Amino acid sequence: MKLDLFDDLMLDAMSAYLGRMSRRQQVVASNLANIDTPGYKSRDISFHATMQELLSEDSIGLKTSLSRHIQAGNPVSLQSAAFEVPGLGLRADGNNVDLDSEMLKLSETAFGYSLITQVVRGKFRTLALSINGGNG
Amino acid sequence: MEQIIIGPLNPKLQVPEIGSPQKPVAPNEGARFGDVLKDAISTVNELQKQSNQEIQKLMTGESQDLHTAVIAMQKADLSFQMMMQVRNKIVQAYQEIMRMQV
Amino acid sequence: MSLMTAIEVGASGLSAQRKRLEVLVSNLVNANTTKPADVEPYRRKDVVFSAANPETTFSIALDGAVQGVEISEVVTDQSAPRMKYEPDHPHADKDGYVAYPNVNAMEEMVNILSATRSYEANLQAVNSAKEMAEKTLEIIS
Repeated sequence: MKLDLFDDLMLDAMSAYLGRMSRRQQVVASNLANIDTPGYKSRDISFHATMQELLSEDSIGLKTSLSRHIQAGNPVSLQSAAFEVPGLGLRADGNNVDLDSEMLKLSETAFGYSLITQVVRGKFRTLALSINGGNG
Repeated sequence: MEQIIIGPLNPKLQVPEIGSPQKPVAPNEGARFGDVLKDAISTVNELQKQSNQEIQKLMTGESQDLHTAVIAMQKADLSFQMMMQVRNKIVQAYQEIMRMQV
Repeated sequence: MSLMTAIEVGASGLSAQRKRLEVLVSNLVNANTTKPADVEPYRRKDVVFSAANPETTFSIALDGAVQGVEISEVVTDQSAPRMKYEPDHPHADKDGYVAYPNVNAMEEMVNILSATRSYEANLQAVNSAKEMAEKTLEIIS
């Protein structure tokens, strides 16, 4: 019998979420760095569909789903699928990065990341308490 | 799945109450304790290994996923604590048995 | 994925905007300076941005969706200087015209504002990524 302490903690899903938020920050940083680069087109990553998929499965199905994704060739397929954002206004220099919406994405992403790290931290702490029963 | 007698020590994490009072144990139950401890140790070893691998990946730059390494470290740490608790309970139970026989 | 890369990308943006700012300020400061008639007047300078892979501390191949930026060159605006009829000016030419730099002060101020906003946005990106990394470490505490 293995000690499956961590099975119900949703750690895999939360870890995947953190990875995606980190990835999104990279992409937003890229957009902001290139806000004045002629011809540069704003990017984002699509992740909602995959996250839903991950969250709707139970923990065993989750592990299978994750490893299936990773074995599907590139780990990047789970994390990114970056695309050019459609429907943005084009400026004279061919650049379509919108400063305000990028700043908004920054806040959203940072907040989501902060939230989930706190959840992870809390779960580990609760686990530690129940293991040690208040004896340290 | 064997029954474990050190309080309601459940495999699934629904508040395993390790602090709760324990029943005295007959000698032939010692084998089960040994199994639990063995499993705990092997889980700890596995998780420690994973944790070290993640840290190594960070150091060599193979991965920049801070969150993966941090979570792996916590899992290794907590499973170690769990193992220590299991060990402590076994030692306590053994000592009780020794006291009884005197 | 990696917050370090986000920080490095943001840092490249900071560096580029700062260089741009230097050039813009130089334009503004020289907007109305004149030189003797036989010397070329100050000419407006501009920077060219181009996407560039950031120099990462770790050599992780980026997948093209994430790029840093750099100033690939500083160019001089070759358009004609503004000629003003000021025959008494020490720098007037034989026809009484003084050559003023081809800089529009208002335009440069607007550009400076824009560069400042872009700089701040990149700073926000860097700080945000840094905070996320710090939050991650708190899981261990």
